[in-house]
Amino acid sequence: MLLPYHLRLAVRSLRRDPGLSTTIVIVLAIAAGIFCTALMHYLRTYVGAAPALPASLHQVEIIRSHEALEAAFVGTNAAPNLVAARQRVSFPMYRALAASGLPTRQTGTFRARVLAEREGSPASCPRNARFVHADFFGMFALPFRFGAPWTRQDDAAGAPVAVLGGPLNDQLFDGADSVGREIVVDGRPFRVVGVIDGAQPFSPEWDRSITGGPQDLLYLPFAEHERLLARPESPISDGPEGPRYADLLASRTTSVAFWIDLPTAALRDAYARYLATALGARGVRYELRDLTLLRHALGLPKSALNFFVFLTFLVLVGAGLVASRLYLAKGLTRRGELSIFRAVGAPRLSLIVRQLLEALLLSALAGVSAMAVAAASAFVYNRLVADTDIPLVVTPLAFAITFTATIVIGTAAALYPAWQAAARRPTLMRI
Amino acid sequence: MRLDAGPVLRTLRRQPAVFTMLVLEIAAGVATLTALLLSASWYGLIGAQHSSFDEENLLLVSSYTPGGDEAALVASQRADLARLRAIPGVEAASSVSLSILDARWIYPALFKSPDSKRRAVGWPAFTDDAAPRTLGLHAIAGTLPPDAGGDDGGAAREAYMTICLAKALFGSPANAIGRFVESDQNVPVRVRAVVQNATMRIPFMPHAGCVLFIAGGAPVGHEAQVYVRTAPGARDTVQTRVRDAFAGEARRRWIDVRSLDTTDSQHVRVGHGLAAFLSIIGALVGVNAQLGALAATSFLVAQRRRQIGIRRALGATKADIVAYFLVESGFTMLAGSLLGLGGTVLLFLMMRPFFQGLAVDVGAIAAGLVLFWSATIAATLVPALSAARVPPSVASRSL
Repeated sequence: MLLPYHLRLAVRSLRRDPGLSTTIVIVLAIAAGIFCTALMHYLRTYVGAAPALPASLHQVEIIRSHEALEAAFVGTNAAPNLVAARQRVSFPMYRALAASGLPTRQTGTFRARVLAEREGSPASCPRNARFVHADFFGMFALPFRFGAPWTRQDDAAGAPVAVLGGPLNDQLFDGADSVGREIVVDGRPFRVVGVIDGAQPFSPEWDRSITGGPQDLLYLPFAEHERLLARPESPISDGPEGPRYADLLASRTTSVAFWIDLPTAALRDAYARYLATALGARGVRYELRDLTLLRHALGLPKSALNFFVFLTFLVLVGAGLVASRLYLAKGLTRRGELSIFRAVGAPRLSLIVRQLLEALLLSALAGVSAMAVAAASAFVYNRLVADTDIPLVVTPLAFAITFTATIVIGTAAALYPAWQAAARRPTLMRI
Repeated sequence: MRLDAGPVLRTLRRQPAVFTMLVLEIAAGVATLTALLLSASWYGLIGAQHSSFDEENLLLVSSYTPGGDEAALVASQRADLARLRAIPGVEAASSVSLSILDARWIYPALFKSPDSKRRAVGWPAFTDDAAPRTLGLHAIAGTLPPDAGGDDGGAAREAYMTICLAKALFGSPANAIGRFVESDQNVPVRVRAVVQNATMRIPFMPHAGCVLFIAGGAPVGHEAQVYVRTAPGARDTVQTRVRDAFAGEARRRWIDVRSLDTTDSQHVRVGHGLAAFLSIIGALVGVNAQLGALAATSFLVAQRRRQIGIRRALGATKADIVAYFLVESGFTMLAGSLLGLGGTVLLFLMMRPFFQGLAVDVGAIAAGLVLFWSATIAATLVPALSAARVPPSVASRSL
């Protein structure tokens, strides 16, 4: 096995030109760090870090024209907001979809602002509360730091219970276990039954159109929305509605996302039959999709993030070209040594392999160092921009992709210099 | 000092791969740096957008009143408005459903009119009769409705729109007067006047300046936003008075009193933050380019030490040697920059769908080029000066 031998020589070569080696690492690390920053944004928006969810989760899209939204958003940076129009339904439609009694689990959900404080504290500011059914937490595998979700019995009994998001628990209870404590929501007491661990996913599966916005801070039983007169965030009107809350509930305004779990083919067929009766017979056009189809059909459209990932990849490629010239310089400073190797019988391939191994080592070092650049960049972004309350962080996936891209580009950059250096004629004369 | 391109061209011809790599590297650097600066400039412009009102005399009072009784909510909001209007130094106050300081996402409307085939995207703002006076709106065409004391509730009474919306929907402000306008968010309402453009949504949202002000028709909710016009120069004093007037209610509901100061808004923080962040990234790209140029010239100097010695032996001065490297660097910079500008055009076309209203910012492009050129020339000078110190005796060392 010649690999350890070549590796040893490559490491020795590295140490021989510390200035050039360091410059290559710095150039690649800066570019890879920049690329990683864009990638972190892209991944948290388009890929997410949520746990794997069962494909048996389904949604029904009510098919209708979205003329106004398309006119406003298509081809703009706001295009992701179109997803809401297809993921959400009106209150009357939600009631129709939820009345089947078939799915093993189901939840309606929407977000509204409420005043939520500890008992006796002054109102600070309206907070984002998500109204959900008990099944919501299990369907989307939300991790709990303390306690557990409320139960279906709580839903049925109209129990005043609440689950706090991690950040709100930190604000109201300094991060302590608040299960069993009371909070006041719009002047009404609610008992805390659970606390979510950490921040909400940046692009939550349950409502991808809120991607990039502030997170859900509080979860309340769905039925509470009527008692609290909670107006859904960013409703999509389908015609003027009256001014009263009851008008909204009776209108065709799109507000609620409805999710169902249909784990067996029999259940799915039964629900499809139910839809055919409940909606099809009324002439409503709809489509039932499982999670896989849904992600495919209602993926977030391209945005400026796609452009920035491409742009920063160009930066990385540019750094590869710089590295390439630095490898050429390395070859030049070692021309005497390489000629002697050739003279004592080293084949060209072995010289190429040795230099590629050296490039691989340098690229690996740059790939790891890039994480320091990316972490610093994320810190600066979170301080300077702070467009959402979910901080940008370096994730294992962003690291893996950046590291691989750095290795590939850094090593590819050494191909031409390695070939040129190995093409040197054998000689023992000092050049 | 002679600026002779001959030796440079011969060198470039001898090493086409190195030359090509260098040109590509410069092209990539120029294109990425200018694209970063263009996007930074776009975000900076977004961050600089203003409501177009005389903000120095306006306050925004936002409130959240809890409760499950809609009639009580409406009564409370009307009472707030009356209390605000009674505070000394307040000239007018109006409830308006939109504000440039509100960063929450809402959906725009697609306006249409039975009198026009056109459709236009914009924002309905439900308000009361005092809004023209409170906001300082001026009629460009038609006549603004008189303040008959009507509030923002009940049926929509009449409307006035900004120039932006009037042009998009009717072609001109004059054509809009007397027409009916409707959308998926409002019933048909007659347009009485066209007013100056006013940005009522955060400028990251499309068509933020196209607004239809509707007297009446506001939905009932917990939240209310009231614009308060203060006597000239009295904003800060009135702000304190308003805060004092509502201070006793903090335990029951939320009231926020702030000056309508767009420099203190989220879109300004995000816009300027992104502009600064992208500029930092651009600076890092520049640092990388400088490191590359430094390394490239060092490499060329090391490679041509003997050639430089010969030239020195044949009478070339130190200045000639420096000029030689500067010409070589300038030549590759020129070729790379031209290619890079072509790349910038392609990147610009890619950016346009995502950066609404992105314009060719000659300043940003020039800044990118100047930065890149300065960095590269500075990085070339260091090894070029070192090359100039090569003694003529080097020419004879390997003979």
